Amino acid sequence: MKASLSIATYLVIAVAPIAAMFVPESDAMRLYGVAEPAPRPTFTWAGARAETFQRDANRWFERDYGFRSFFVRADNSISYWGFGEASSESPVRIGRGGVLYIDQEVEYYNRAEPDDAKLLAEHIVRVTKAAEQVKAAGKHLVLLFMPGKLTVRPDSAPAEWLKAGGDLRPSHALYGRYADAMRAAGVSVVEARALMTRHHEQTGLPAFTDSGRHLAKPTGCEIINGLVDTCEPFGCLPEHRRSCKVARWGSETDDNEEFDLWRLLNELPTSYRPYSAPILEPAPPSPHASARRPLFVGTSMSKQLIKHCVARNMFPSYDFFYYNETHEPFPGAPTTPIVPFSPEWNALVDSRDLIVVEQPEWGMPTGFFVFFEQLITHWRDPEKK
Amino acid sequence: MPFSSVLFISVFLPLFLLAYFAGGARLRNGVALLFSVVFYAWGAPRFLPFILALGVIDYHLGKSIAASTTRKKLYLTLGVTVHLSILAYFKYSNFFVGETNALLAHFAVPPMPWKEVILPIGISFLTFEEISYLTDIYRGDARPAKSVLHYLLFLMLFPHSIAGPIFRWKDLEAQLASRSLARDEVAAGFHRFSLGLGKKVLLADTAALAADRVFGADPHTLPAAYAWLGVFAYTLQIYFDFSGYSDMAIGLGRMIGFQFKENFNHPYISQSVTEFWRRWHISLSTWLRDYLYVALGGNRAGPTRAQVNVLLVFAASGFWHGANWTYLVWGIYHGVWVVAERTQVYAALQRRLPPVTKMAVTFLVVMVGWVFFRAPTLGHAVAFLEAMIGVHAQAADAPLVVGEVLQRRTAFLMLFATALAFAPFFRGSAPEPASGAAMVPRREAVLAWAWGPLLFLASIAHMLNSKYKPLIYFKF
Repeated sequence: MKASLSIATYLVIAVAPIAAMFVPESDAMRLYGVAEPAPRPTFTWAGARAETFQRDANRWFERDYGFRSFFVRADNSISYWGFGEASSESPVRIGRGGVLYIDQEVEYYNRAEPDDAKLLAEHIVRVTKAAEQVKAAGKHLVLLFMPGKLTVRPDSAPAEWLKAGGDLRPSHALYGRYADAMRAAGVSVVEARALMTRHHEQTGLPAFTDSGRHLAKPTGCEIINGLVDTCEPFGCLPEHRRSCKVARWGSETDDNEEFDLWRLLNELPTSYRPYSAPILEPAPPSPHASARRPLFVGTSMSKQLIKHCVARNMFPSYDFFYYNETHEPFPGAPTTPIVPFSPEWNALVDSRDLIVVEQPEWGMPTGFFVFFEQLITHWRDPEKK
Repeated sequence: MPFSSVLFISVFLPLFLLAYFAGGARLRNGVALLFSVVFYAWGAPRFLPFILALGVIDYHLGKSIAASTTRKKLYLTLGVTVHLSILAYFKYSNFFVGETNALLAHFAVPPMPWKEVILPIGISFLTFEEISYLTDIYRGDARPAKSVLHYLLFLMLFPHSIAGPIFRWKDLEAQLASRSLARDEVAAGFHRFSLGLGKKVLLADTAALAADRVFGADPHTLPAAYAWLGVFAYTLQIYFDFSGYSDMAIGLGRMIGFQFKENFNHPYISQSVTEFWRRWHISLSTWLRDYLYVALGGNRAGPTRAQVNVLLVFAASGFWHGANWTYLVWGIYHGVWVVAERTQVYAALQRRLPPVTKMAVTFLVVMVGWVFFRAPTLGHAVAFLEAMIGVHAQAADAPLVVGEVLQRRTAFLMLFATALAFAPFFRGSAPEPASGAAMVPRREAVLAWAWGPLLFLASIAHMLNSKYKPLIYFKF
């Protein structure tokens, strides 16, 4: 009897997921994050002989395996609750006090300086060239230095994440050289990194949300004030500056982006924990918008900053190149893939007079985007226009 | 299709068991062969006809050896030569051509044109099984297979066809003809499979996270602590990976009525390298002893020749594991230790040492040997060994970060694995095996009734999670 029960248990564990493959997954259990697609393969003898069918079938089966989300979340929960860490495959790290970091931010601090110095020198030449061409075209380029969370909140990062000694990469080594070179070349720079660090030190307010990788409201506000200062000579209106005072703390947020890293932990249970964040004093939008038409290029940080700009009524419209891969017009038009040098792309780049490119610190020194090369090619080669 | 895949666990295995038990005693061998063929075809379809044809040739060759009185040796030589030639071509030709071309390049001679040869999976194991079949018949230790179906099933039986253990015809012949299917045995088979799956997925794959990071770094920039951590992690990984696989194979066999011999017996508690080889990959070491060492003359031609034979056997063992100088050096390294242990000086020294010291020294020797086994090149291995004695970087220049090499869960599971590997020594319940007797203590078997299904679930969960590598956004 005991043996039969054992056999039955094993078989149920093995086979039940097959049955569950035909049942829709609940939203609560859905896994967050994007994984490579694994479509159901079609059998062909040639595919089987080349073993591509077997590989694809295996990948598809693992992707669609019943209770997969539960299994993954259960295993992640062992890491989270048992060991206070994210799974080894996760791109998220859990710092002291539950502050979440993204892998790339930490890896940035552990990279070798000598390799970076060479890459930085090449990149500075590239950006300077692009800035000259932007200027020659009667436009203005602003570089937005966005810090990694580790720069602003090093206190929450355990020493074992960093190279022996636990020292953070010195700020003057790479970032400082980059910023200085840009200033020397006459490129406008918004040093969000310095603004945020100073703001955090002076007010004690969080610069980033704990459960995500995005900006806390006061720091987003400070950065936009910095942008207004920087581009005032080029048509930004001083009235778009506003107070970044915190009115209160509350658990409501205006969107769910603040939880992006937390959701990526993919653990059980799936409900959000109460999360309190600073909320700014209300300020009505300005009645006047600048005549400038900006193009932002960057990560979701820039997207968040555009929302701040929209709330202040800074510009009449906004175009956002998300990771320089998709074009998201604000407000509200549909997102489309970016096709560099296409007639639409040429027309858009030619018609925007303020180009704001985000430079994520962890993407340094190579600039993260090929956007600069594209700008150089665009204005160098008339055939592309 | 590895055993540690959900496709195997949730589709292949249940379908096979359903067909196997529904088919009745008469059809069982046929069902097992059919599923074994499908299993092999899933991994290497293009080589299936070749492997099956070799099996049929062996079957007839075996009958010829048994039937002949004058040409026995000729048939055996023919069979062994064919099998070794096939193994040499598939496994070593790329290596030798590569080495020759490197040498030619040294003298500015153009390389030989060569198209890379693809290695049929399981060929190393199959070759040894086929050779032992023919040799045993020649020696009169086994009878030829009565049916080609039995022989093909012996070769292709999916629990062992890809990565061993190395079976011998004489051990399975009777079981192929008839075997009982007690429910307790089937359940025990599931428990054993679950134990093996847990060892592979939860322990070996976790230790691999640390080992891969360290061995993936430039050894010239590796501080000693990291190097030791890396090789220790690999020491755990390779044991739990291979012994876990063997457990799964043995468990699958039990599910369908076969009793396979044990392949591991707590090797890391060995008190000498000689003993280690009686506990590690037992089916390989006994094969090498019975078919190579004995064929070379064993210890019949005096002690010096016996020592040379030991070295040759270990060199062959190393090269059998892979076509690379690193494996050859690994084999010779072990051979040198075994030869040294046979000397009187060493024996006297051994007698004076307490068991725990002997175990520690043996473990250290084995661990150092794994550096050659794991390193991609001899140069890498040497640099890694230098790192272990602190020749290279200081901790402050480490290319690695502790938190990345060793997460807390990894550290915990490695500690657990270490305890599991050494516990039998302190428990005093795992003496040297006299033969391939059952080596899983009864207490563990009893625990399996309670923990087996839970371990099975945890392994599946970890297996799926370790393959889930999400990105935050679509483009990074």
